[in-house]
Amino acid sequence: MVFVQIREAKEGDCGHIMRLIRVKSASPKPGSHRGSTSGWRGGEDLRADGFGENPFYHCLVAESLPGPGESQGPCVVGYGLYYFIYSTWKGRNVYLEDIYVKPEYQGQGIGSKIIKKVAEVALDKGCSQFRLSVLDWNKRAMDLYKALGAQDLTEAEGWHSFRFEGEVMRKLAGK
Amino acid sequence: MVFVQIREAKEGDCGHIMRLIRELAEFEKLSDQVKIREEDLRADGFGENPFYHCLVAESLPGPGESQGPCVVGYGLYYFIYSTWKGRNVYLEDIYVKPEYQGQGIGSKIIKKVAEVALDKGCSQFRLSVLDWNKRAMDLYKALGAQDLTEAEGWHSFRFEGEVMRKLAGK
Repeated sequence: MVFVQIREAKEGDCGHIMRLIRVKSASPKPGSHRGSTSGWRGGEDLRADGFGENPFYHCLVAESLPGPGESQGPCVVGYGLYYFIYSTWKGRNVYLEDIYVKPEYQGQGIGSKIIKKVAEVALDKGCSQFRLSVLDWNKRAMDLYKALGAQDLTEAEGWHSFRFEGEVMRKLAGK
Repeated sequence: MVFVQIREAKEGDCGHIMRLIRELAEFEKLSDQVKIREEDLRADGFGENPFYHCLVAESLPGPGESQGPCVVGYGLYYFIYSTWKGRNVYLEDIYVKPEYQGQGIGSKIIKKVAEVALDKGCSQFRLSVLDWNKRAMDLYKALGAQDLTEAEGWHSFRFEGEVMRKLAGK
């Protein structure tokens, strides 16, 4: 059993986080949009966007710590990237954009630890809820979030996520 | 036909926006969930680090009309972050008073959001809509949006209240 701590990401973690983002996105459901690698962010973008004067996001990392006698150092094995959103009903809330644990570290409660830390951070900031999205074929994640008490709003209330992008946006904006 | 302009909300619009927020929540059959008040909207949107940004649709009086301008719709948005695309926009609320619907005001708000998002270097903006709100779904699709829940299977999840406190060990 590996000992893992959840801590705030530091600027120096950006390379590790970028690697995890790429690994996470390299294994989508066949035919899904998330297989596309167009418009990749690099580690330098992650650094600039998250560690400047007005960060666009915040990030937690799951770091495995070496056991007694082990020579290798700590290692980032998962992350949870979030930002603040605004509900016209409840005020400021949190949105967990990404949560990921390396496959070889899954099944040890690390995902749950990240979720719990997000809940703690959100409450400390006066938020009464946090949201996230999950793909319907990702039963493992859906089961985890439900087991931790989340509600599937798409199922319960019928919410659908829509996106405008690229050429569609430019046309709308008259650009 | 009424002339309507889309402009950035000012602090003085908060009372009008709050009323429209309540109207929208009632339309969505979720009005018991509105907990914020006008003073929260003011503090949250017009302080040093605003939590959101807002556009209002303002109807302007025609020649000879005595009544002043009137806020008849709004679009409230904020910036989000995609680990693939960087900063993007999320349109949290968009609403036009029923008596002003059908005149292209919703489309005007959407177009303004697209313009603002592009000006800020964003390559996409997202929003959510209830599956029974066919009018809104048809509008967004007609304007070129993709329904990601239908196309890719995305589900929205929420943790709140007692569940959150229990997770956080509070």
